Amino acid sequence: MSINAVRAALRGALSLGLGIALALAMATAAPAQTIKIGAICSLTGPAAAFGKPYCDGFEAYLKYWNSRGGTAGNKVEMLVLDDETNPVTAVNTFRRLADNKDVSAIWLGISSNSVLAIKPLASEAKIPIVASGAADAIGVPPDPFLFKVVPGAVDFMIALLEWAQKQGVQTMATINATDAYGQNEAARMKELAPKYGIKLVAQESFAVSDTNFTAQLVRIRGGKPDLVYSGATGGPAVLVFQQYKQLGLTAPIALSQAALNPAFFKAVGGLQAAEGILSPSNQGALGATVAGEAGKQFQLLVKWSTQPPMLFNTFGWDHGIVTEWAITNSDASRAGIRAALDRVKDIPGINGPFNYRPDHHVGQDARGLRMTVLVGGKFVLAEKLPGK
Amino acid sequence: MDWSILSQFLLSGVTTGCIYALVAIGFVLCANVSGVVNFAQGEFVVYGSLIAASLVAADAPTTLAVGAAVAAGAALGAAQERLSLHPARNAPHFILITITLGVSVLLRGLALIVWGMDPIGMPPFGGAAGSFELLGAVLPWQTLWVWGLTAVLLAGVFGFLGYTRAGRAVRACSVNPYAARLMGIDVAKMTIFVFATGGALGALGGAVIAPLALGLWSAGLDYGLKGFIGALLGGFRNPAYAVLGGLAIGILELLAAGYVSSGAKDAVVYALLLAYLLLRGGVLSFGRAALARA
Repeated sequence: MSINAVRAALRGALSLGLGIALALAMATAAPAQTIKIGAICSLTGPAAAFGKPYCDGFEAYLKYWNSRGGTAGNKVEMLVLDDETNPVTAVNTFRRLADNKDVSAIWLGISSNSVLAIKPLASEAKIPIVASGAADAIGVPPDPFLFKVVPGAVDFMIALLEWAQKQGVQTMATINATDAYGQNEAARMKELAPKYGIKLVAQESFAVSDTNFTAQLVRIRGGKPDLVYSGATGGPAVLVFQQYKQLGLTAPIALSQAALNPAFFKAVGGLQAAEGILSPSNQGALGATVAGEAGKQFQLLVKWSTQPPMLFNTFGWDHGIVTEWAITNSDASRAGIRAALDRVKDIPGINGPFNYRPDHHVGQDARGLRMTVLVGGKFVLAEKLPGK
Repeated sequence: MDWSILSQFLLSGVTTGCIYALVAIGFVLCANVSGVVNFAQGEFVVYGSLIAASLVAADAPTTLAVGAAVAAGAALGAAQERLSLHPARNAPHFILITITLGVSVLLRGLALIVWGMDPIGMPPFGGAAGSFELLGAVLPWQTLWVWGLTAVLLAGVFGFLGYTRAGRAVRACSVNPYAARLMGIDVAKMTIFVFATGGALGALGGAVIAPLALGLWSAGLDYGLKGFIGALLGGFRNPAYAVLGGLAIGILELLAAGYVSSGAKDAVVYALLLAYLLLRGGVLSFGRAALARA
């Protein structure tokens, strides 16, 4: 055997060994891979009131997810950035996360305005986004990469009408602002009410700067409705409610969920002053009292959360549920997750089942909404019309 | 026709109209003495209601809260004149009017920063919750405070303008500032005085309406605009006509919302204003009548 043959053999063995070592290294590295999810939350600024609980919900779900070994043995990690309740910052943080090749998907726990600022960039960045925000424009028209979680305005109208029909309500009146949101609600109501056998005896509107609602409420009083819906928010919500009482209207009144913040109750003079008001709400607000899968998921949230649970935690949790499903049922690449999200069908969340189709990017619907009533300072499931 | 509904609209309209009337008087006083239409007038109402409501929320007695609101309104008005208009007094009037618009935006922004976006409620004066009936209309007790205080205030303004030396000096400034100065009237001082009065009137309106309309940072634009229209309807010369104009706007709004359509309310009010102005021959042909004795 010549020296050259020995060298050749050695070289062969060496390269083989290297090859094996490399393969071994790769095999052991694979389980150590992590799936990274970028999260943008409003941790500071006015939207922190819900942005922070959103983020707590994300974190709780992540712990629950990893406690079951993550997806296919891959741990899941979250990179949280703060948008400071500023759409410009939201866009910048979004670009940072999208440019990071390790990030597979993005969660948003920010205001509708900030989500809408990000929407035009979604298809450019080609990263799947599971988004917060109540505004219908987030999901309609659908952007291929942006998936809205919570039900839209029309779903709240459907939930309200379905419930009213069940209670034997025959006539209703509505009062809405003249802005785009209010008029959208009023138009949906007008279109849907006849389908539930309900006659609208008055549909009133007001300018958001109005302080005197006498004319509208007198007209509503004249129509003698069985149930009244006020879509007002902020100052008008308080004034409509106060003047409703002053003018002696006695029909039960339902208020938009968006109106019922601490400032509302403070301005009307405490929770007891608002006793008996109805509100179509996301069932996450009712927590474990909801039967079935939703209640079970809520109990899991309570178990894994470090904070006392509230509504916005449940939205954060639901982002987790739908994202885990999409990652498990895809190759975990950005394109794969996006395509999987489009196939989501009746995946149960705390706030109702999710459905996405390429032409429909509003995940949850009226099935996740419940009529609630304020009794003894707490919103509970409304079983019947108050006063009946 | 249901007369109780009509009286409900009229009496409710008078309540809102009272605030427009107080704003309108501020407009007329400032415009006639200084020649400047002060578009920050509506913001004084907002500051009055926010200051009064937040003081009451901090357990201050109502009288003190309202007093503080009025004092703050007067101080704001005087400060506005001194800090933003006096330094630019030689600029043309349209520049000065633009400055007042700037001040109104500034004040609105400050209110948002200081008090936040949420409306602030205020309990009715004297704890008089509940309502009373008048001519078939149901009105909250606070309405009486609004009417009463507005009436007292207007009587005070008219008494001052008509029967005091200082009031005569204010009217003299409105007739001819140069002649007034030659007669020994300190026009600059009078200008500060009318701005302070405008601020105080607006702030009192805000404080007294707060239990009915809440304190809200963004409400100034609406009060300002409606008060301006009231003053315009009254010819921008006579404080008494301005009061009638303000009341008329308040009532018209409710009648339009009640009998025409609540969605078209503002359209109806502005269409009527346009029609009125066209019939009168345009804004510019009011002539140079003196600030009336009322």
